[in-house]
Parts: sequence; structure tokens; C-alpha cells
Amino acid sequence: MSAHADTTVLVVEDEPLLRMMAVDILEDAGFAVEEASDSGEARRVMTARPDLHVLFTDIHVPGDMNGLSLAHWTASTLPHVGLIIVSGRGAPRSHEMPRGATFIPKPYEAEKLVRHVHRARPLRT
Amino acid sequence: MRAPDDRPGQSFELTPPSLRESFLEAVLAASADCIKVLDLDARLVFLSEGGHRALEVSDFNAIRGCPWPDFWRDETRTAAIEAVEAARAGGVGQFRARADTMAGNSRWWDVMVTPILGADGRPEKLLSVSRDITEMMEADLQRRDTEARARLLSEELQHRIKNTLAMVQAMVRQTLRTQPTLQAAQVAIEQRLAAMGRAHDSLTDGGLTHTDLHDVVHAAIDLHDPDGRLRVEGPDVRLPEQAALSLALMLHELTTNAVKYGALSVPSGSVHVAWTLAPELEAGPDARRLHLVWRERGGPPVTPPTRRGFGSRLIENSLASTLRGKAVISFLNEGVTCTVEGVLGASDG
Repeated sequence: MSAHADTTVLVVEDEPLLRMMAVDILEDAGFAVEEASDSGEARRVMTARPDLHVLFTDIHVPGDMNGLSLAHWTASTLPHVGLIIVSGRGAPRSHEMPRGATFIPKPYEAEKLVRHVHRARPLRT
Repeated sequence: MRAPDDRPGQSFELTPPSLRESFLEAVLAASADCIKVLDLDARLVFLSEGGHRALEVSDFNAIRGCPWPDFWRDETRTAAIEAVEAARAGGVGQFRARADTMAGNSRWWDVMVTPILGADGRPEKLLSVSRDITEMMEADLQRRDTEARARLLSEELQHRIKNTLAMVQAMVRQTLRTQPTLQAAQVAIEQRLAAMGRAHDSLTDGGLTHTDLHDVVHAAIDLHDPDGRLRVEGPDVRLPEQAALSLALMLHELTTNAVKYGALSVPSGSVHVAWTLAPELEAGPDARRLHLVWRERGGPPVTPPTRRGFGSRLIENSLASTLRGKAVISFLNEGVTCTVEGVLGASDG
């Protein structure tokens, strides 16, 4: 479909409408997209798909971890995965996020999300 | 300091010595403060009548001679000792602390310890006056509590506004993708915004964090049901905010669809919305499983849509994730049916 179909993004968002939007934006931009509505489901997806490239997660997601913990878990378990964190409650302090993670405030522009996913994509050799 | 008595002609200096003693006694007895005299070792030697009442002392002899700082506990005892030291050095010792009365009731006290000077001008005894400020302190605590709650509420509102804007953004984007013309998109956006607005009304009515399912259902469908062809039944259910908003949008989509193509597009059709609640012990002691059914009857034969629109995507994609369950929309020949299952009150968030 496009040049980025080899890049897979996992969208973690519990609000269905917002998840649908994020999935649509990323699919329109040509990415392959997986989705999860809580942190447990997100970890199951990542365990099944260790070839995932980017995690895009809301901070306030249900489950035993919030989005920040999920990002830290991902950074230590799948260090190659690019991290994008989103929230409507203001940015976390930079030391609260894993190194290299990007924060985007809600609501966000589609172009901005796509740009950040491009940047967060791990470099391929 | 207030004068002990400011009636003209009765000033303290003019009172004869014999009257002076009874006058002092009357002043002491009149004070609601807890007035104590301590010796220089801080032992109790006198307690006023007001002090008996304030401290709930029935027999002064039981506490006469006891070291006064011992009536205070932990760090407040240190404050009492420091106040005694200050007064003994000729200064003023002051602190505020909580202590129990002799009857064991906890009160807040505003305490001042000052020296009573002897003829040589050196401290001979100590005067300790404690005022019961419990009501003031509790009002203060309550005020702080109210302020903290107002702050939380305003943060919550901030977050809710951002979330609502994100929801509107998502809705507009989805609508523009799925509606065939710009005009159709405009109408759909306006209707969906109105549905979100009504959902917010039902949220505000039910309190900030939970709202009743009946309110959500009625807010979503009443506008489309002037002749009462929608039947609603179910027990009272308190929904978390997020689930209420999603459910309201979902019901709006179902209702709009029913008015356009389904049971509400013909006079003979009707819709039944019903839900039940059952305990769901696996998810926690207070968790319950919500089972909601939307059933259309008497409408034109149903043709499943050739592509999934915004409504069915929203429903299946799904509302249910906010309630940890599932939603299924079936385009049965006799009428559209949508079932929603979800868990309420599970112990995690």
C-alpha cells in the first residue's frame, strides 16, 4: 500500500473513538497498525509481535500498568521499539519517561502524529 | 489585654483589698479559658473553674502537683517544655497543639505560658492559659479540604475538556471519512455533537464521575422518540464517565440508524432497550456484569450495510473496551440487534 507498510505501530488507547482515529490516521499514512485497549492486552500483542516498531500509548490506560509504566516495560523488554506517549493531562516530566520517548499532548494533529512515528521508527540496517 | 472590668468607678485600683480577692475570683470563674498556675518546676498548683470545665476535670486533687508538660504527648510535650522554659526565663511561651481532656476527648488548644513575677521582679510562678480552639481548627481543616477538592475538580475538568476535544476531533474525522457528501457530513457532525452534548448533560446531572444508565439512554434517544416507540427497561446502574460517553454515542448511532433505515423509519416499528445486572465475582467483590440489548422490531427488512459505517465500527471496535466486555451488532432480517456486555466496578481501573 505504501512505503511504510513494513513499519508496524501498536496503538494503546482505551477510548474506542480515539483509538479508531489513531488507527485510521496511521493506516492512512501507510503504516501497519495493531491496537490494544489496556496495558495487559498491549503486552500480549508485543510479546506475540516482537518485530513491532513503534508503541503509541495514552498515559491513562486501564490495566495493571499505566501508559508510562508500559513504555518503561517496553524500553527494557523490546529496546528497539520507538516510544510515543500521549496524554490530555499535561506532559510528564522528562525523567519520568524512558530515554528517547516522545510526548504528544491531546488533542493532536494527524500530521504531527505521523511525523513523530516516522521519527520514532528504529533505523533499519 | 482586656481590662478586667471597664465599668466607670469600679476600676481594679479603686477596689478595696477585701473586695479585690472576690473580684479576682469572679473574673477567674467567669473565664471560659483554662487558666492554670504552675510552680517553677511546672507542677500544677491551681486550675480555674473554666479550666475544670474545659479539661473535664472532676477532681483537681487527682492532678494537683503533676508536671504540666506530661499532659502533652510526643512533640507537643517538647513544645510545652519549651514554653515553660521561655516563661521561666521571663519571656512568653506559646504553641498550638492537640491534647485529650481528662475525659479522653481530643481538643485543639492555643496555649500561652507567662511568668508571674514576685516582689523582686523575678518569676515566682507560671501562668498557663489555654483556649479551646477545636472548632476554629476544624473549620480551618475543612476549608483546606474543600480547597483541595476544588483543585482536584478543576484538574479533572481540565482533563475532561481536553478529552472531549479529542473525542470531537475523532468524531469529525470519522464522519468526514464516511459520509458521501460534505452536506451529509455537516448534518451528521451537528447531530453527533448534539448527542455528545446531551451525554455531558446526563454526566453533570449524575455527578462528575458516575452517571446513571437510565439518564444516558434517555439523553441519547428521547429526541428521536416523540411518540414513545422506544421502550427502555433496566435496573439503576451507575456508569463510569468514560463508559457513559461512549455508550451515549453508541446509542445515538443506533437511534439515528433506526430512524433512517430501521424500525423507527416506519410507523409500525419499535425498539426495545433492556439491560440486566448480575454479580461478576471473578472481577472483584463488587463487580457486576452488565448485559444490554438493543432490539428493533417491525421495521423494513434489514439489509446488512455493504461497508461498516462509523456507528458499527464505534460499537464493535468498541464501546465495550471501556467496560471490559464486548459489543456485537447483528443485522438480523427481523431487525437490527445490538448486545453489549461489560463489567462494572472491577477492582482495577
